[in-house]
Parts: sequence; C-alpha cells; structure tokens
Amino acid sequence: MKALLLNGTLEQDSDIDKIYSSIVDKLKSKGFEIDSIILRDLNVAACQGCFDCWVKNPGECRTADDGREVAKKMVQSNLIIHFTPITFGGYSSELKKVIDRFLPTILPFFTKREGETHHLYRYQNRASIIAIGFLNNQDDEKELTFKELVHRNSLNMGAPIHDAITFSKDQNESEFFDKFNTILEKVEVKI
Amino acid sequence: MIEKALLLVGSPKVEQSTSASLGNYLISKLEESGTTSEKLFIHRVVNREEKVKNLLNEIEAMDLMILTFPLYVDSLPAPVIKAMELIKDNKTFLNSKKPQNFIAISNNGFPEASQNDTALKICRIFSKECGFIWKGGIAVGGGGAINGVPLLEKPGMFRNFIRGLDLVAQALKDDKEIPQEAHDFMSKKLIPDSLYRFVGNYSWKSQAKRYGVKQKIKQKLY
Ligand SMILES: Cc1cc2nc3c(=O)[nH]c(=O)nc-3n(C[C@H](O)[C@H](O)[C@H](O)COP(=O)(O)O)c2cc1C
Repeated sequence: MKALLLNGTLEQDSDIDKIYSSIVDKLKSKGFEIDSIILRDLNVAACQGCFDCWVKNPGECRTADDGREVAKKMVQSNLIIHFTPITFGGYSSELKKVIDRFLPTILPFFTKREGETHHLYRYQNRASIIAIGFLNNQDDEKELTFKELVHRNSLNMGAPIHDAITFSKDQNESEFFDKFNTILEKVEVKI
Repeated sequence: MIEKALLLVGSPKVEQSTSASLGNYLISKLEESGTTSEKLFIHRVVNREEKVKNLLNEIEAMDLMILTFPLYVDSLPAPVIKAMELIKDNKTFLNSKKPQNFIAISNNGFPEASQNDTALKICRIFSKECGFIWKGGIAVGGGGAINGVPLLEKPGMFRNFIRGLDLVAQALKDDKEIPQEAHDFMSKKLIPDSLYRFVGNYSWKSQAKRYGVKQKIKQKLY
C-alpha cells in the first residue's frame, strides 16, 4: 500500500505542520509506505498546455523536471493526499502546479461519465484521493467549493474513493482525526 | 463609464489561446466607448519580481479587471492561482477609493460549459476577498472549437460568442448585471456533445499520426 502525500503549504506553520506529521504517523501505523513531498521545495514548471504528452510523446510531459517524477508517483500510488491551505475555495498554487502536470497519466480520448464528457484513463491502477484543506476560520462557501472541486477531480482522475476534509484552526482536532480515520478505512477496503 | 480596463490572460498559450480570443474581443467592444486598456499574460508575470510589481500597479489603476483563462483540472491554471495569491497578499489597492469591478471568463475543453462552474466560484471568492465588485463569471464550453482564432475571423461560426460578449460589454458599460441571455449565448453548443467527442477523438488520433506515434498513443510508461 503506497500513499503519496502532496503537501501544498506555502510556508512553515507549526500548527499545520503538526497535523501533517500526525497524518503521516497515522498512515504509517496502518502499514502504508509513505512518500511525503513538500511541493514548495520542488522544481515544477507550469503546464504549457501543448498536449505533446498526448499526441507527440504519449504519456510523458516534454518538460524534464520534478513534475514528471510526481506524475509517475501518482500512477504508482494507492492513495494520494492533497494537503493544502484552502485558497479562495480551491488548492494552493503549490499543490495546483503538480495537479496540472497529471495530464500525461490520462488519455486524450473523450468518453461520457456521470452524464458529462471526461477522458479515458491511461492506467488501470488509480489512486483514491483524500483532500485535506485548512482555513484560518470556518467558512461555508469556501468549504463547499473545495468539496465540489475534489469531487470533480475524482471524476477526471478516476479515484475509486475520494473525500475532502476541511479544518480550521478554531476547530477541535480530534473531530478532524475521527473523520480522517473513517475515510481511511473506506480507502483500505478498496485497495 | 469604464475608464481603464485590465485584461489578464491566464493561458500558457498566450496570444494563441482561446482565452485571449475571448478577452480581446470583449476589450475591443469596451474600447469602442473610449475605455483604455492594458493586457498582461500571467504566465510571463508571476515569476518575475518587477513584472509582479507592474501587475499590482495596473490593478491599483483599473476600474475593471477581466480575467480570462482555460479550465485546468476543474480549476484555474497554477500560475493564475499564484497571481491571485500575490494580488490578495498585496493590500495596497484595497485602499483604492474608486469602485473596482472584476469579471472572469473560463473556457474549457469539454463541451459542457457547466464544468467551469467550480473555477468561477473560486474567482467569485477571490473577488470578495480583494474587495472587488463581482460582475460575474462567464462559462464557455468546447474551447477547442475556437482554438485561439480571433472571433471576428470566423464571424459566422462564432456568432453566439460574439453576441454574448456584445451583451456582456453593454452590461459592463451600463453598470448593470450580466443578463442571462449573455450566459446562454456563451454556453451555446456549436455541435451536439456526442459529435464533439467523436470529432475530438478523431482529431487526437490524426495529430498523433502526424507525429508518427499513432500506435503508441495509449502506451503505459510506468
Ligand atoms: C493541464 C490541463 C488540464 C485541463 N483540464 C480540463 C478540465 O478539467 N476540463 C475541461 O473541460 N478541459 C480541461 N482542459 C482543456 C482546456 O481547458 C482547453 O483546451 C481550453 O480550451 C484551452 O484554452 P486556452 O487556449 O485559452 O489555453 C485542460 C487542459 C490542460 C492542458
């Protein structure tokens, strides 16, 4: 069981870093092999929107940087954790730079899924997604938008299980971890 | 009267993008009524300190900011989010005394314009956090059909986008809400979804053939 943790924080923050460490410990105790990546330390160029990864060099981005390596790890994982400050209801720029680079891991071909157009998948193995978004204060609009984004991503990425958990600094930590454990159990069943 | 408009293009394809086609047309309509405009390509700005400074100065000066971008994995492209983080963190223009308006245009590859809704909600929240007046989000589906061509080069094919943006421009000039009719024109389909998928799939194959990789298009590298 492999878990890829994509840490999209923009800076160090002891409260947030503590939660992140607890998540890593929890996954380890469940027997996951962990790959934890602090994205702001990586060299990942922005997607150039060229579609070479579909029609010229199928399956690989033309930019040879850490973004390629992260895409490979995404394919080889059973669980991906999107860990991010909720930024206007979405992901931070640090998390988004690797999410944009996942395009080579799917196929260009269109299909219909849940009544909408989406792409066919390139790989049989696809990871479940648990997105963890944090806020300074509770905010319903941002939380709902974040959940909607994660749901839409799961359709495009083909995640067998997905969920989004949000927490704010004024919230009880144990409540957060209860939710995390419940989702983790669902993920484990699918692996 | 909108005196100064700022067009922010959030596509890595810069001038050749569908984002630019849509934004350029809207700006040209505003300029007919005397608006002056400035255009910046976000991908050329975010990693350069002096260009970021210039972006913030332009934002301070504008009455209307138009953000036009492609949908990337259900949200905005990473450099656009980076620009939004920078804008939010820089408070100077929040002291601006004049009302500052903001409108966003999201175009996507899938034929359903509604898939842009989440990204436009993100734009609305950004607008609120920066103290701008949210003029609304415009969703355009099947952006591949425009493919960066200026709208007036194919006035027949793009007539619905042109009509829609004419209505958007009028509403902005009159300081009114964007009418539903404008949204309807912008999300009108050129062809049925099933045909769009069929044509799209054919096009991916022929592009791969051109590069000599048609047999490898589904290859697994990992
Ligand atoms: C990295 C990447 C992610 C994309 N994600 C989506 C998506 O989630 N939904 C969609 O409909 N189109 C998606 N597209 C397609 C673009 O939105 C589409 O090609 C758009 O018309 C490009 O506009 P532009 O010319 O302004 O860059 C994606 C394209 C790229 C390169």
